[in-house]
Amino acid sequence: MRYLAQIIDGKQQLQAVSATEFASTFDVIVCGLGTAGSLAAIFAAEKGLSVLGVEMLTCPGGTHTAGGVPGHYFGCPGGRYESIDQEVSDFSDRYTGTKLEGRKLVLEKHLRESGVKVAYKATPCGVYLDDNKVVGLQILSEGQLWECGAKVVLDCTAEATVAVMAGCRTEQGRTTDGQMQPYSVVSMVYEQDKYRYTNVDFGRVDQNDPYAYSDAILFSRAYPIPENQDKILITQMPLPGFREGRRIIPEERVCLEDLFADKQTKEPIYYAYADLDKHGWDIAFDGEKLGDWAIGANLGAYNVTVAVPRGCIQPKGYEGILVPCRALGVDRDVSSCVRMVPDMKKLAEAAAQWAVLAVKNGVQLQEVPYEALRKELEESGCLKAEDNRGVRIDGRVNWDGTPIEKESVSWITAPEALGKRLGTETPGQAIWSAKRMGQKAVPVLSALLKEQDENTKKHAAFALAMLGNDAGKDLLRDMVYQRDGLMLKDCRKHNNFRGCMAIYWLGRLGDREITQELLELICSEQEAEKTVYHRELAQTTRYKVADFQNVYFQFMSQSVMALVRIGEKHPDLRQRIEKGFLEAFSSDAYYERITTRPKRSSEGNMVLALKNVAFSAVEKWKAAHK
Amino acid sequence: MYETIILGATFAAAGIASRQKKKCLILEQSLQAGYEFFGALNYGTDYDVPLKTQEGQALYQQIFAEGVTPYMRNTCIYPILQESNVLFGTQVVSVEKKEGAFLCKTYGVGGYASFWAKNVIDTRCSEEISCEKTYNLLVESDTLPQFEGIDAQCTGIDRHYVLRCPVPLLCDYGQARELAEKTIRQFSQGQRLILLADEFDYQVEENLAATRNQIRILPSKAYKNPICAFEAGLEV
Repeated sequence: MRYLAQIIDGKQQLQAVSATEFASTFDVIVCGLGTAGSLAAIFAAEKGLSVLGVEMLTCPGGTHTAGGVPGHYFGCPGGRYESIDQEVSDFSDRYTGTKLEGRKLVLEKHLRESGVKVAYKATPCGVYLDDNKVVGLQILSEGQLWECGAKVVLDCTAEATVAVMAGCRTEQGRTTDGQMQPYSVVSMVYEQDKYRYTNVDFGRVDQNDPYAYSDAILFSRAYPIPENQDKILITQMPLPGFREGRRIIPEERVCLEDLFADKQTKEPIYYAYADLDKHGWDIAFDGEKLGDWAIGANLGAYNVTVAVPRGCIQPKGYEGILVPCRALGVDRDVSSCVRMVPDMKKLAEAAAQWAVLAVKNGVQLQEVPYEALRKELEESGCLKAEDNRGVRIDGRVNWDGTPIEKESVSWITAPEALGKRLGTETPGQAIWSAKRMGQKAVPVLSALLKEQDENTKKHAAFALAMLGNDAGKDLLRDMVYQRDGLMLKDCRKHNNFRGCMAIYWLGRLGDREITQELLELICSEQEAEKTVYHRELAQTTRYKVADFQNVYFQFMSQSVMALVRIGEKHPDLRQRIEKGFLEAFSSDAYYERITTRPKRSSEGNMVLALKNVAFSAVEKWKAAHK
Repeated sequence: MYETIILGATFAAAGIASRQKKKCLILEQSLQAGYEFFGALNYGTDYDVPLKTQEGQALYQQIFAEGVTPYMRNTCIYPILQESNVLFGTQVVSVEKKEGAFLCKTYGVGGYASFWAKNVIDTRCSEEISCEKTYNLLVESDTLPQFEGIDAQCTGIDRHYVLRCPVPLLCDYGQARELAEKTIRQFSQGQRLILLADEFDYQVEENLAATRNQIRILPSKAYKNPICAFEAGLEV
């Protein structure tokens, strides 16, 4: 049975249609010629397939051109994209002031020479399905509707637009309040005879809501970039930067807990490599699995390797469609790590190659043997065993401005060896090693609680809490009472203050005795005046944000989240906590104590999340009570 | 029902919207406003034409803000549009007159949608109403660039010029970039490409205003510069 699937007023509608031949059919239709899609189209066409590229903008490259992101950080080199990147560099060095314009021209040349038919200012608006197999698309271009058959559709729209239309399930946002990462607008400025791209972060928005989306574009583009005779705005980039969006429910999903448990797929197509950064200061609201790593052990800027399985780009239960773009099927915790520019380029190659094998052998995508795909990807360098680098300290500059000494992380395996590292201001590896050891670490850690050394005993309390053991709760509480402001130094950025870590762990343990202290912390007007929040921190700690009391915000956000967790565990405390939330957030005083930035700025949005998260929890408790 | 649906988030649209505020809805396919001038790398001419309105003068002040080079300040259109309703990333599928009003079917972020309005005004530009079009490039050059058949215009920034490359009316963006690349490969030392236009620069019959299928046609690009287009919108 053939259906035409469309989204009408935000909802999928299916309409039975006759299964006639399409006027034209392509081996592959690529929707979205962005970072991944442009290369996927080129690679598939270079292997002899007939390819149609559908792009809503007027140029190829997406974020990598129209979005103003010329370079990339992290990810691993290797694969067919490298020769195109080299061509972009050579062309740009000779002819252009920036790589972005060079990339547009080089990609265009490859699209043309490989025979890709390209429709700019076009968008897919309907999907033809034979049962659960995608067989064609309806496309809208400048008011004209047309339809095409396809053996394979590559949905590179970043938002899984085609997959959603077809009915594939997706997820998005964080669990605490559904919010996604902040969005940005990049502008090109001319300053001191040089062109550079400047990025302004704004609040969090659901770009799949048409009104919120347009409102966000209007607001961000109206935001003035400071200019003078020496710094001139050349242009705002045409594509706004929405960092996070939908993620498909795939045939094989990657989760953070699997990563931490060293469980790896048997069918990798590339190894992603980056940190798990969520591009905001409100990491308190990013969930417990990531929280244990980034807050509880202070390892947020450690790089991890993710073996991305081929099943990750295949929507569960559907055939004829792959989603090789940011919307690939990983959980939210992992999502920011697998979307680096080189990763998207590898994803493009893997998807194109998979489509080539299916089309040339006349089989369904699912019938393509993994070994055949692996062989091709290994030959090109897209998939390399040496890219499986585990956990590493990486980057350019440390928190204090010194160069980073890059190294692989080897977890401690003997409980007796934990004490030495716990006694430092970089205890993260030892805390996480204790988690990996499990209960066998408890006797050693319990003994360390009695040490004289401040670092050793406090960090042992963290490690015990990581194991669900509250033997160190008195030490944890003391760190909160003292507002322990020592910044640990495991990471190049986003290091945590010890008092915040203690709040996090007391929340995770559901410690009822700390409730009053945390309520006072969030309610008291005098709290913000405490010295701990106003100490001079080195610029390089990355805790300085203009017009934003970041250290105070860290303590506030951890306290709100800890109170929510305590309330989850102790229903009898909920009324008291709700009363505290009302006192803290019923006026804008809390907001003004933290920032003078507008509410719709990235910082303002994070501050508002305090209230939203608090009251969302209260609503949930009330609903459960009813 | 909206008073007016405006097709294209152009400067002419901003003029209409600045009067109608929330009573109008602007539908825009791209993710930018004012693209018909700034996105096309066309900064307008004839800025010495006397302005007729206070709103036009205010816009002029923003574009030519003191101490800032009069160059590409497209951000000035957004605060005006913030006072109305705009849907970006939204294509118009059809417009039909029904029961004395207009039904406008669109496709955008939330899929297909329908909107009603008493009036529809199309401020966009396309091949249908243009006599010619160019694909423009912003280049940096020590001297005035000289390429056969290509007009080079000064900008507000020292050593920066716009090359206006004529392209056939039916040329698409891929073909336009292919033609542009040929010109770029002729660059001498000291000449560099800074920016390719996001949109074609259409030349439209001056002050063209018409009605087609009861839809009012008011192409923003029928005016010499963004402020004149804005003032034309104000007059609607």
